[in-house]
Amino acid sequence: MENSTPEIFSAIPLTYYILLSTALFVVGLIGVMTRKNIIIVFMCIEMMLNAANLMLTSTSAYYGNSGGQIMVFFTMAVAAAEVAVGLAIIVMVYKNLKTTHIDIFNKLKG
Amino acid sequence: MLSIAILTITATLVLFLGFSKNRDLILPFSAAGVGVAALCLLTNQSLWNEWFMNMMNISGPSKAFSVLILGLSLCIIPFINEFRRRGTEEIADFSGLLIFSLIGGIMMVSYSDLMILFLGLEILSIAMYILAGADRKRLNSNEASLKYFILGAFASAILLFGIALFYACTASFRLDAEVLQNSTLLNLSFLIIFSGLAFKIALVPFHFWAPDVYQGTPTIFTATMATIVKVSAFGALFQFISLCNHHMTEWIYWLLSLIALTTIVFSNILALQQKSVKRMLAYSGISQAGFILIGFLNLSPEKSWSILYYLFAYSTASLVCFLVVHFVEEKSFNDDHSSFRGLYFNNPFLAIVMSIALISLGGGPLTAGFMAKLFVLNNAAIAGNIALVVFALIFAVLSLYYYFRLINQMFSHSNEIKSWSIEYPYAGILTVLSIGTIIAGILPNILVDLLK
Repeated sequence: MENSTPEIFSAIPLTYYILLSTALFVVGLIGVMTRKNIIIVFMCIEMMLNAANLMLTSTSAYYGNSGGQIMVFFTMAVAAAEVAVGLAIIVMVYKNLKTTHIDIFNKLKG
Repeated sequence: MLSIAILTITATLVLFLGFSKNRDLILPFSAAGVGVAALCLLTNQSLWNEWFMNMMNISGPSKAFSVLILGLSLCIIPFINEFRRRGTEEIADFSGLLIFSLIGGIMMVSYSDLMILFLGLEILSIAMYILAGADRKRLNSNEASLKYFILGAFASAILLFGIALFYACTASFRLDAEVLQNSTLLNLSFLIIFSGLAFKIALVPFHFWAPDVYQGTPTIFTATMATIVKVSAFGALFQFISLCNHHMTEWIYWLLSLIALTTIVFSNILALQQKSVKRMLAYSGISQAGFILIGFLNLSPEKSWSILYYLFAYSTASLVCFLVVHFVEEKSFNDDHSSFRGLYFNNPFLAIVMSIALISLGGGPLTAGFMAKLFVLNNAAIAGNIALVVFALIFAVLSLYYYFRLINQMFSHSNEIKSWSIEYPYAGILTVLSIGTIIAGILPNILVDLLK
């Protein structure tokens, strides 16, 4: 790969982007594990996806390779589909239970 | 490509067929579409085998995985009709979504580019999230759907982050790409991608969702999850490890054997305590996944048939189990061990096919499960993992206890004898699957030659 690193990376090195996206990912990960409201958990999952998107776009710009950007488009489309299905499931659950608190889901046990 | 195109067209047409008043056509049409797609896969050798600039490539093992997935779905599709008996008329939606999920499955087992892996996984999963909640009015089904969705989306996000790390190291999504960055980061990305896949397969540190989701989901779609989803996820893992072998360091294999060991130990111990048969089968599925993982330890293209053989044995047997559980659940409204009591006297056929399937899952001789365990453990022993083999054998024997406890229930007298009937098409499918299990057990060479 020829070295045509964009100007911006001399001001803000690639490592920073990677660290930022890793931090976002970890925040999302902890959120999924600790939060009690389904909607918030769902938002944390979206944050994890976006952390991956950030890493893809920044590395893609760094390498001058468009594959990562294309992947981000796909990811965004997939995330939209996931949101559609996920919100439908949450609405279905809310209609039956009138709550979005996660602790209510303890019916299935061994 | 042709088979994926046929599946897409079939699924779309099936969704439109749902508008018509006459719903008898939907399932035969879906089954015909899937059958034609499977035939295309089996027959066409050269036409469009490499697609999207070689991002996907159906050949060798991935073709066998795809055919297995399509064959299993052919056995499941007729059972969707059972929903109409319960008053749910949206069978076109269920059938269409099931076919869409097959497309995802085929993409997952034949990728050579991680972009396709992610898309395939999502196509498969998003359809399955909806199918898990197919019984909209039952709270258990709602809960299963929500849990599956949250944890599935979580797993996909982890997988995507792993893919992003892989891209950061190689500037490419291709598994055979050369490495640009240091390889610690690359191995970290392998670890993250592997955990994402382990979530889908339900291997032990990531298995906690499986029993809950399996129990709450309508049993026909539990059967889909236990067979099609698991085969696809293992296909993805197979493709990943066989294409990325040269990048991986030794500790990945140590990790794999550790995971296989903990999976086998924990799932079998937990399965012993289950009252619900569906939960027991879920834990049994987890333990089988541990055995299949042993097959991955010394993976080489020549040995891939042992994994495929195991997946065939596992998926036919567990499909039969779940379908029988469906009938029992339909009649007695729960899936506890006690509702299986006296099944032999209520319907001998169901009890016998279920026993064959359970013996095969337990690895009893003369069934496919025995040969499958033999092949996989033999490979591990040749590679020198004697301790792992010994542990696996001990827990395989332990697992016989809970399988035989259920068989014992089925053949012991109950207070009341009800005669349950089962329609001929369903009985036919169960018979074919059971005969397949036995033939593959008595004459394993036929299947092995086919897979080679």
